[in-house]
Amino acid sequence: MATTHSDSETLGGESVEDFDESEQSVEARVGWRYTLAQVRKDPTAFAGFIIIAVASVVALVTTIDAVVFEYLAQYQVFAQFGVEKYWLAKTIWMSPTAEPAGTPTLLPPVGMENTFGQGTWAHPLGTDDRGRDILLRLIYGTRIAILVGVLATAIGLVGGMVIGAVSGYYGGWTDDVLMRLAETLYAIPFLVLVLAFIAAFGRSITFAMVGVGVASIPKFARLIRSRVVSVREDEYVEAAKAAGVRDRNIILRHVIPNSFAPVLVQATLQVGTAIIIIAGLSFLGFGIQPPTPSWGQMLSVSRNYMIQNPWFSVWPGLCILVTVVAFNMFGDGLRDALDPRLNN
Amino acid sequence: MSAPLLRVDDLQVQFFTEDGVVRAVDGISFDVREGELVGLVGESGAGKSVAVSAIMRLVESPGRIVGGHIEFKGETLIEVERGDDGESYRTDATIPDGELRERIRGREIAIIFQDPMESLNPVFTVGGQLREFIELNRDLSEEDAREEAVRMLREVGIPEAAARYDDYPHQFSGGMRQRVLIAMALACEPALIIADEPTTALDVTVEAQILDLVDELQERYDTSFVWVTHDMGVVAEICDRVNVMYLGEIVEQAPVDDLFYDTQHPYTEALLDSVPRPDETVEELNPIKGVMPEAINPPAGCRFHTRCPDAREACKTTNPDCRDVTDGVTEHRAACIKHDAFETTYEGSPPLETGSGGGFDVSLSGGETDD
Amino acid sequence: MSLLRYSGRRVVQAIPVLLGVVAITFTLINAAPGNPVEIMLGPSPNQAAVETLKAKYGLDQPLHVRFWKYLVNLVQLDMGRSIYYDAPVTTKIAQRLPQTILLMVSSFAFAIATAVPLGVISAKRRNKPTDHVTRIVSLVGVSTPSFWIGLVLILLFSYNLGVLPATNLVMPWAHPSNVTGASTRLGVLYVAGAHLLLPMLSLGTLQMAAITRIERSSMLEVLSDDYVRLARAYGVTERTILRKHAFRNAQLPVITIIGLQLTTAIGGAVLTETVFEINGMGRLIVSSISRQDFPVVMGTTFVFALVFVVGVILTDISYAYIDPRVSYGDQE
Repeated sequence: MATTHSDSETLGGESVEDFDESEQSVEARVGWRYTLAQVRKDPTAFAGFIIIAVASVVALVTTIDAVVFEYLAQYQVFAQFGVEKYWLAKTIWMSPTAEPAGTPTLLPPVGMENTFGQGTWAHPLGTDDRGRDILLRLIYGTRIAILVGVLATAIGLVGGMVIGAVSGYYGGWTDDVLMRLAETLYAIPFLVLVLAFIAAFGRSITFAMVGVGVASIPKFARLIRSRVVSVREDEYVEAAKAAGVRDRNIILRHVIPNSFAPVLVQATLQVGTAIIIIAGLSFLGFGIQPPTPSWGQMLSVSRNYMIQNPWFSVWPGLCILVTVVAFNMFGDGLRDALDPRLNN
Repeated sequence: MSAPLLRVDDLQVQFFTEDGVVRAVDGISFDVREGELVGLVGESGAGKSVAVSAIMRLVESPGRIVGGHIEFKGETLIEVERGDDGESYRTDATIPDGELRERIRGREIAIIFQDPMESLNPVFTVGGQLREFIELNRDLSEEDAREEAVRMLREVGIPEAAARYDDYPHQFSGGMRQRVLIAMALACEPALIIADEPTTALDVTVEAQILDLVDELQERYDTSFVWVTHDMGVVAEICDRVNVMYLGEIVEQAPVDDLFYDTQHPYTEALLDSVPRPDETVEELNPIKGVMPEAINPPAGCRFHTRCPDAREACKTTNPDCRDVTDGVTEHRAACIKHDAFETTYEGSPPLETGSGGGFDVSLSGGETDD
Repeated sequence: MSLLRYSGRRVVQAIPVLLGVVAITFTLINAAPGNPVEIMLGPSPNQAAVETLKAKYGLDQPLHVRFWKYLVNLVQLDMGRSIYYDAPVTTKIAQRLPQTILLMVSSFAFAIATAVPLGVISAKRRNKPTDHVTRIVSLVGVSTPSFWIGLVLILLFSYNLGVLPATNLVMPWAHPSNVTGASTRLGVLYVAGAHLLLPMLSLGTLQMAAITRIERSSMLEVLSDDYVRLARAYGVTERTILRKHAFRNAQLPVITIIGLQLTTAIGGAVLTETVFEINGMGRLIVSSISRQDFPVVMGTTFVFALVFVVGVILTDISYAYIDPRVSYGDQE
C-alpha cells in the first residue's frame, strides 16, 4: 500500500541493530517528512492547516497591535510616533474597543432587514450594543481564541509531558502516586475543575487559561506515560541504559521524541477543545473581561439583543466553529498520516 | 482421470490503491482433485492468501478479481472477462452472490484463517459460534447443531468438550482455538477446506499436533484441502501436490516428491536450500538473497531474475509461463526459460550479477525499474 | 456472577478517587486568596463579628481538622451551609440536581439513539454520499460550542418561529397544579417535553457527533476483523454480520467514549443551563463562584465529580457486560 512507509520502517528496523544516536534522528526525520507529505495529500487536513495558518497570522498581528504597542507606548521613543494600543487598527479603520460618541446604535449587517434599520458599508456586519463594529471585534477576537487556546494547551502539554515521562520511565511508587493524582484530577469534569480553579484564584483570563491548561495535564500525562512505558522496553533505550547514558538524557533524547507523534495529534485536537472551553468561560463571564474583544464574551452580550439584532449571536459562534473545525480537521489528518491503519 | 474438484484458471486479482495498481495475483492456474491436499507455497507477499480468498470471492476492497475462471464441482464460482471497453466484468455463468453465499460458502468450501487468536469472535462463546455455522450450513435444528458442535469439539481433541462449549475464546490457548476452527470447518462437511497458513501463528510442537490431526481427519472425512504455507517442512509433511508462488505467479507445480527430489525452478531450489532438510546434511543454510520486490511494480521479464542465481540477460526480457518441463513423464511444470521446453536464447545469453546487493538494494531496484 | 463481582470492585475502586476529589477541591478552595468572611462583612470589619462568623463556619480551626470534619460531615450528607442562601448546601443541591440529571440523561439518550444508527450506516456505506454527509455533520458537531447551538436554537424556534419556550425546565413528574399551561398529567408531559427539546438538542449535538464518529470508525475496524471475514466465509448474510457479529464488538470503543464524553457533557450542561436559564447544578456553581459562596462551590464540584464517576462506572459495567474478557478478569 504505502511503499515509502515500509521503506522507512526497514530503515528504522536496521538502525536499531547497531545503536547509534544519529540513526535515531534519521528515522525521526524520515517519519516527519512522510507525515507532512501525507497531510499535504489530504485535502481536509490541508484546508485545516490553511485556516489555522491564516488565523495564526491574524492573531499575531492583532496581538502586536494590542499588547506590544500598548507596551511600547510607555516609551517616549515610540510614543512620539503615535504608537498606542490598537495603533494599527486605528490607523487603518478604528479602534475595536472605542465606543462612538453620542447614542450607541445597534446595527444589523448590511442587507439584513431589521426594525433597527440597515447596516452600512462602513460596518458590513453591523455594530454591537455600544456601537462598535462587529467585524473588527471578531477579527480582534481571533487573538484571544488562538493565543489562549494554544498557551493553555502548551501548559497542559508541558505539564503532562513532565509528569507522564517521569511516571512512565521510573515506574514504581512514583508512577503510582502521579497516576493516582492524575486519575483524581480526571474524575472532576473538565469545566468544573476549571471553574473551581477560577473560584479559588479569581476571575481573569490568565487564571482561566492556566486552569484549562492544568485541567488538561492528566490527559497528556496518561497518553505520554503509556507511550513511554512502551518505548522504555525498546532495544535502543535498553542499549542507551546499558551504555551508561543518564536517565534525564535518555528521557529527553530518546523517550520523548519517540512518543511525540500521538502527543502532537492530541495537542492539535486539544487546542480546539481549549478554544471552546475558553469561549465558554468568557460566555459565563469568567474569561476575558470587557472591553477586550473575544468571541465568547460577544456571544454573552448578544444574548440580550436577540430581538434587535439576531445576527449578533451568529457571527462569533461561526468564528469559533470555523477555527475549531480547522484544528479538528488538521488533527484528524495528522492522526491518519501517522497511523495509516486507521486511514478512513 | 476424473474432472478436478476445483479448477482455477488464469486468475488475476488486483488492488487499486492510491499508489497504483498492485497485481497481487497475476494469472495463476491450478487444480485440486477429490481427496487431495494441495499446497500453495511462497514467501509472504507472494499473493497466496489473496489467491485463495478469491476462490470464494472474499477479496476485499480495494482488491478486485479482474480476470480468470474458477470452477468448483462443475459450477462457475467466478468468471471474469475483459469487455471491449477494457473494463472487466463477470460473465453470466458466474453464480450470483446470494447463491454463492447459501450453497457454497461454508457448505461446500470452508476456510481456516492464519490467526486463531483473531478468527473467533471474543464476545460470543466458542460453542455458540460453532453451533451457528453448523446450523446455517447443515440445516440442523438448534439442539442437533449443538450436539454436533460438541461432538466435533471432541473429534478435534478438545478435552471436556461439553463443558468447554460455553467458554469464551480468550479462555482457549492458540492451539486449542485452531482446533476449534478446524472443527468448525469439518463440521460443515464441506468438499473442500481452504487452510490459509493455519499453523503459522502456532509454536512448533502445537503445529506438529495440528498437522497430525489434519492428516488423520482428512483421511476419515475424505475432504480436499488447499493448504497455504510458506513452510517447506509443512509441505513435505502433508501435501500431495504443490504449487510454488512468487510475486503473484506460479513458478512451479509438481507432486510433492518430484518437487523435492527433482526441483525444476531456481526459486523452489532456493526455497529448499533455505530450510533445513532431514534428508540432506549441509554445512550451512543458504538463505535467498534480497527481499521480494513489491508487487506494485514487478521487475520486467522473469520476476525472479533480480534474485535468481541462474539469471541471464534473456531473463530480463522473457516472462515465462508455467510449462511441462519433464516431457509429460510426471505432472511437473515450471516457469523457467533454462528448460528446453522454452525455446529461447537462454543458453547463449550472458549471466547476470544478482543478489549481491543485499535486501534493501534489491527492493529499491525492484521499485525503480521500468517506470 | 463475575459481572457482579466486577461491578463491586469498580465501586470500591471509586472511593479513593472521590476522597482525592474532596482533598483537591478542599485544598484549592482554601488556597483562595479571598477570605469568605471578609467578603461577607466588607473591607474593614468589626473584629468581634469576624470571630463570630469564623466560628460559625468553622474557619477558626486548623486546615487538617477542618478537612477531617468536612469528610465526616460529607459521609452524613452534610456539605456545610451556603453563605449566600444561609441554607444547607445539601438542600440546595437536592433542589437543583434533578434538572441537571434530566437534561443530561435526555441529551445522552438523544445522542445515542441518533448516533449509533448514523455511525453504522455511515460505515456500511463507506465513501458513499451518506457517509460523506454524516462525516461532515459529525465533524462540525464536535467543533461547535454547545452554548452557541443553544443560542441559535433559541433564535430560530423561540424568537423567529415562536414555537418552543426558551427558558426553564419543567419536570415531567411535576404536579399539574404547579405547571402553567397544563391541567393533566399528560399535559405536564407535553409542557415538559416542549421545554426540554431545545436544551436537549443543544447539549446532545456534541455528544451525538462524537459518538457517531467513533461508532463509524469502530464499525469499520470490526468489519475488517478476521472473525467477520470468517462469518462471511461461512455464508452468514451481510445483514446478520452487521447486526450480530460486528455490532456487539463495535460498541466497545463506543462505550468507552460515552464514558469520557460525560466530562464534556457536564461542562456543556453548565453552559446550557446558563443559556436556557435552567436552575440546575450548573447555574448554581456559576452563580456561587460569582458570590464566592465557597461551601456551595465545593459541594457542587464534589457532586459533579460524583455524577461523572458514577457515569463512568456504569459505562465500565456495560463494557464488561459485553466483553467477557473483562468480566471474567483473566484477560490475556
